[in-house]
Amino acid sequence: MKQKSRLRMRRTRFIFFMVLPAVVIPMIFTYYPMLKGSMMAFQSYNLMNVKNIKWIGLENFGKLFSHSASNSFYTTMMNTVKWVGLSLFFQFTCGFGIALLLKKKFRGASIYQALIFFPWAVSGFIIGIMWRWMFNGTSGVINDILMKMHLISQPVGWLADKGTALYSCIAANIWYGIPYFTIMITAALRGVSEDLYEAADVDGASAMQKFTNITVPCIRSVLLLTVLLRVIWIFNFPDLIYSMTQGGPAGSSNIVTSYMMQLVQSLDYGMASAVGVLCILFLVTFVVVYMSITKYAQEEA
Amino acid sequence: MNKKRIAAMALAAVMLTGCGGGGGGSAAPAPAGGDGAAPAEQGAGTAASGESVTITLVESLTSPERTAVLREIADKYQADHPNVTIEIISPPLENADSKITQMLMNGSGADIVEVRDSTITQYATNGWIADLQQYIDAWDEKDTLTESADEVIHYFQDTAYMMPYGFYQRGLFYRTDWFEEKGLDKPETWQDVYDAGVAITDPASSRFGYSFRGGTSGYQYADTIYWSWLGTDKIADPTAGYYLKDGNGATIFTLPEVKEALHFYKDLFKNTCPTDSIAWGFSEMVQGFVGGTTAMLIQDPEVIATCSADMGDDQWALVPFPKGPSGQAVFPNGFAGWGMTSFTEHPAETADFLLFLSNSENNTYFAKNYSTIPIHNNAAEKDSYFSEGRFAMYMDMAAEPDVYRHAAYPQMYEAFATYKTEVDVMYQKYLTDEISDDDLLSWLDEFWTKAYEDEGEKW
Repeated sequence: MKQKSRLRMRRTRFIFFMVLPAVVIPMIFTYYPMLKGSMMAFQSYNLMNVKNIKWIGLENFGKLFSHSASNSFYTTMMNTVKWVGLSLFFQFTCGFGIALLLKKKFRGASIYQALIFFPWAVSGFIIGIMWRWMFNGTSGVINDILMKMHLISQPVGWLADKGTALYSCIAANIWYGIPYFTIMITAALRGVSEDLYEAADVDGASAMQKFTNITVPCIRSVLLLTVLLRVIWIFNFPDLIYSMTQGGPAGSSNIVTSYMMQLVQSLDYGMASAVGVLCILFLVTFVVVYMSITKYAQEEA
Repeated sequence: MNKKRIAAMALAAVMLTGCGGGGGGSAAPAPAGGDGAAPAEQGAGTAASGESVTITLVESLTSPERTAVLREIADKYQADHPNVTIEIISPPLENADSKITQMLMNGSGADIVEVRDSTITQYATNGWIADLQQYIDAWDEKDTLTESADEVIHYFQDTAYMMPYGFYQRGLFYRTDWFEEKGLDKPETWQDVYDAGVAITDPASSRFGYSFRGGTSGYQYADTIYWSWLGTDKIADPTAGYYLKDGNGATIFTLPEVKEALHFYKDLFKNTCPTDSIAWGFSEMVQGFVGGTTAMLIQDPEVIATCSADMGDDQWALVPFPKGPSGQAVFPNGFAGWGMTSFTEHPAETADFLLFLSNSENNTYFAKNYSTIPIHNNAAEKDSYFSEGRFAMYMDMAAEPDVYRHAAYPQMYEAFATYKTEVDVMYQKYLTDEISDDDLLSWLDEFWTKAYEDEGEKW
């Protein structure tokens, strides 16, 4: 009896030590900095003068939501919605489409697949610089092509116009994000049993019926998860905007995270942290709502 | 069960946010504790001569060519001082200043850092860099320093926080061949720039007059126009060009001359520049000029090398900065240099190397290879490069100090960091007719009036 309990003690201790790193490491490297950083949101924390850091309550948040001429946070929030919504929609539909096409076996399929996945392997900043020159108003290749096709008569300053800057960035982002969905959905489609399609053929189902009744339900959980992850990633992807327009002109293409980068550069870590806290609150809310609407958890259980 | 799952996913999402750089904390530096000063790595105590010493220099405006020049000078020093090892750290250009900031906050790992006109206020306010006065006083080359160099040494609160390595002054590059084609004379005033620009601009053949800086730091170009309209006699101090002389914090932005100059600035953009130049930064401006889109460009001397490489010698010329109605041409005397950290373990050795780097011979060599204006007035004697060829224009400007004058935005204000991120958006809004001239000017006036109220007179 005594021996048994000692054994159990030892086992508990063993498990405790095994689990410890998994608890402690995220604590030190993720949650401690996150808490410490979030505290800055309530401080006047400016690297211009680190001797003068003090608690200021909600003042940073107040500044973000103030209605002064130089405050562009409202535009920035609207832009973020457009940026995430449009990018996601086109990335998803195009990525899904390509994945369906890749399902069919054809000659050179693997080469084609490799080419499709290529943009995913390149850094966001490099993609941004590439597209910035392509969209250049005087010497960009996009203007050149459109002019040769007689679609426009004069070069367009894509990134210099408040009406087109954000959409140009979104176009680049769509191009960049398609491979992600293609990769994930292609993999999911491989897992759908051919028997189901054969059975459907026997029953005389149309292609559309097979798609809505077999393909989509079978990969539903993958679709839901990829969309969720993608929303978070697109939201947190200022690289393209930053290297293409730096949020300009006149703040018309800023999204929340590129705005935060600018605040970091102005050394105002308090304000930047306030934006960061808002980002986290928004994303957590989004995830909870998304998961209850799609009943993702029940599906899995 | 269900709720737990949702909570777990939400937590996972939070962690992802952190990874993506969106988390408030992930980008934050180590907590402040600079004053406690963790000891530098080199070991304890002051090093007596003979004891081996490592001096670490961290540069900011890095380029491989420049690092090689620095290394060459450092090797020369090491040859004379066998006990000293000089280590040069070259962080990538894009985030070099924030790397330096982190090192300075940690209070270790650096003895000499590159200090720029845009960072000196931050470093000095936080007490991260040391006073060099006693070393400069004992220096045998202090008498050949130029007046500009003396000004910069004492830029911040009359304390010798840095030793400049050179100046970046802007000049006007123009296409001589296009000017000849149109029968235009060399541009000397802003009006000349405008008139020639209008004459040359022809969007159909994608030729434009002027390389406009509409992107980051575009306000600096507007400022030079204001000052050229006003003249420097009206401003409080060359380093605080937004304030009026004896104005008790009143700014220049309420003056009619400035409004007129602002209108000129907008006309210049509307009538002589490509529309997409509202988003142009340094590389687009230079590319626009070198690539044959624009006829005129105002830039730093480092562009000389690009022009020489990509254009024919008879295609372009470099002439002095354009003058305004005040008869003066006013532009910032951009500077950068070296500062000694306040926590260095070997101040004597560090200062000795810092001054070696800045002596006439080494500074002239550095300036020639890096296209800056040297800090010693005998540079032209040491190297004819500075009295001949393209660079001679800068010597011509220096010879007429009444016409070619310096002024700069008040970078010594803590508010300047915020200003820098907000001002470009405001100018872009004005240039695209979203806000009026009065909106912009009153915003500028209010911003700097408030900065004066908060921080007092800092020049």
